[in-house]
Amino acid sequence: MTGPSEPLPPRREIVTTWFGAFLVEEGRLVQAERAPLDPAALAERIDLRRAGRLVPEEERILERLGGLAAATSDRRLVPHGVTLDPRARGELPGAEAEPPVELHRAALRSAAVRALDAAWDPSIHIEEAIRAQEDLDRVQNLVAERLTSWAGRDPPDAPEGTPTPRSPVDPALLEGRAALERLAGEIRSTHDRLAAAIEETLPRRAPNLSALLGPDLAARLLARAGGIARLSRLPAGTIQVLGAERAFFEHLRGRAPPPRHGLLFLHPRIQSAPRSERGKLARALAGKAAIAARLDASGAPLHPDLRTAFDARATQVRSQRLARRPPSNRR
Amino acid sequence: MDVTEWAGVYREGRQLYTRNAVPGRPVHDEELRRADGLEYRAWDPFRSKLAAYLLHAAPPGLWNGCRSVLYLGGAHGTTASHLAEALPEATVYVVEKSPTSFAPLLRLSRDRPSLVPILADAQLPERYAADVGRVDFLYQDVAQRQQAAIFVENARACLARSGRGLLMLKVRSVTQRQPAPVILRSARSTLTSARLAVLHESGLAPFSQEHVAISIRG
Ligand SMILES: C[S@@+](CC[C@H](N)C(=O)[O-])C[C@H]1O[C@@H](n2cnc3c(N)ncnc32)[C@H](O)[C@@H]1O
Repeated sequence: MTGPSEPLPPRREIVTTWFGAFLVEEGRLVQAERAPLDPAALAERIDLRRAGRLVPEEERILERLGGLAAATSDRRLVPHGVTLDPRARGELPGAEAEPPVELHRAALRSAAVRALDAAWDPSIHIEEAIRAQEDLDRVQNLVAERLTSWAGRDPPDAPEGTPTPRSPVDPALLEGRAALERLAGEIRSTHDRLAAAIEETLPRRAPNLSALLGPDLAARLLARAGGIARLSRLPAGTIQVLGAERAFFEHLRGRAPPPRHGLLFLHPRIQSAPRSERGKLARALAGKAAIAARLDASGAPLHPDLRTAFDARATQVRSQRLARRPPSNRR
Repeated sequence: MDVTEWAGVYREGRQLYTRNAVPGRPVHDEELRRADGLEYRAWDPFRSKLAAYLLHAAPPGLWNGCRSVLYLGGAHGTTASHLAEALPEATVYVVEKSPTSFAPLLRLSRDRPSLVPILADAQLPERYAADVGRVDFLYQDVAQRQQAAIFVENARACLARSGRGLLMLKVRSVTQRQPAPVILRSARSTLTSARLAVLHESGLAPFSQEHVAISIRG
């Protein structure tokens, strides 16, 4: 029941439930995309949502909507142009009957069992190691800043014959500072140690990704995706922008264009390419990374052609550019 | 066994109980008691902040009539199992992000079909909101820095209009630099600026010194 003080619902709302996606206009159901009512299909959709992705039914609604303004209470839809609106309640107009709840529970259970299984994926430890490195980076910056500031307080040696000698700094404090300096060294060496551990682990855990991207970038990508199993299920387009979440947020707030490169942008081949080619290269690299992730998730050994194929593509993009270059530019 | 003003909760003296959904089997090593041909499980206020809150004059009928509950920070399911027993007709969705805690929770739910564990981060409610729908009762005990913000986000995504909520706010810990009153004040303002009405606040001593229970209406 909507009391007089309740805000009116938005004109057009996309509603997602466990059994489908729906378009509601002025409180009336105008499009219903129902998920197949079998436990496997339902569980698959739960997996997609848990990974923050859209389910096929939502994609169909968005397709038909063709960019018209709509509201949602579900943040997963926001990157696809739908507006987060507190008035959107994610509720269907009364008439829509809910399928038997036992079906839903069975699907939730099998999704939970699978999610827990995937959580023991040993590559998750790579993610923790990467995050630990990030933690250390932050702490190291803090401590380094403090040490610089502290050292800046040291009086210069007094010139000969200064009439009033300065009162000396308390030795206990200087000892404290020395301990802090030792900690800074310890942080650095722990950071290096984590880096070495990652570098050593990656070629074994993810030989294909590691060969394609180098161990460090491969590890970062794995960390962003939440493990090799997750990464292997992502489409190339998503892999291409992984790690650009912050840019994405800025984009959502209207402060920036949508990100075109995520972490993959750090790959040396892309870094060294001219701006105009980076998009193409990132796309190609994301495609190969998707294949590499699938190989690695299935435990396949190193596939020799992936890296070569990407290198070949990079060369091709380059020669296309050289061929296209207008003569005036060719000095 | 006496009934209480909270649906599904019984008491004998100061000791609270719920009806054991799996007779003969305790969840940990809690006391099982037969009365009137039924089996009850003791609900330990030292282990469960919700039991502590009930003993601290929680509003009567706190969850009466609820058909669905969202429980954030389920851990091994100690509290969630009692809540599910107190509300046998309701679905209790339990979100827990640590796989290590989730494993026993999942095991526990095998014999309790109305207890639905979800392995997810409560900071990202959009990942489970479609499954949870709008619940009548939101309970949170996550003991983490962003606790009030997490509660607000989940209320926005999953709480029914005029639904009730209970936030077990951790106000004291070794790593938190702010004093308890500051944490409490800032949580209160996070809740009210999200238009949640704070109904009731209560400490949980002597069962827990570190938490304040905040009861809200959406
Ligand atoms: C203090 S314990 C909860 C005890 C439980 N409520 C009981 O009484 O049985 C806190 C739990 O919250 C979980 N947790 C912390 N942050 C979380 C988050 N963002 N999302 C989901 N669970 C979280 C922790 O893994 C831990 O199991």
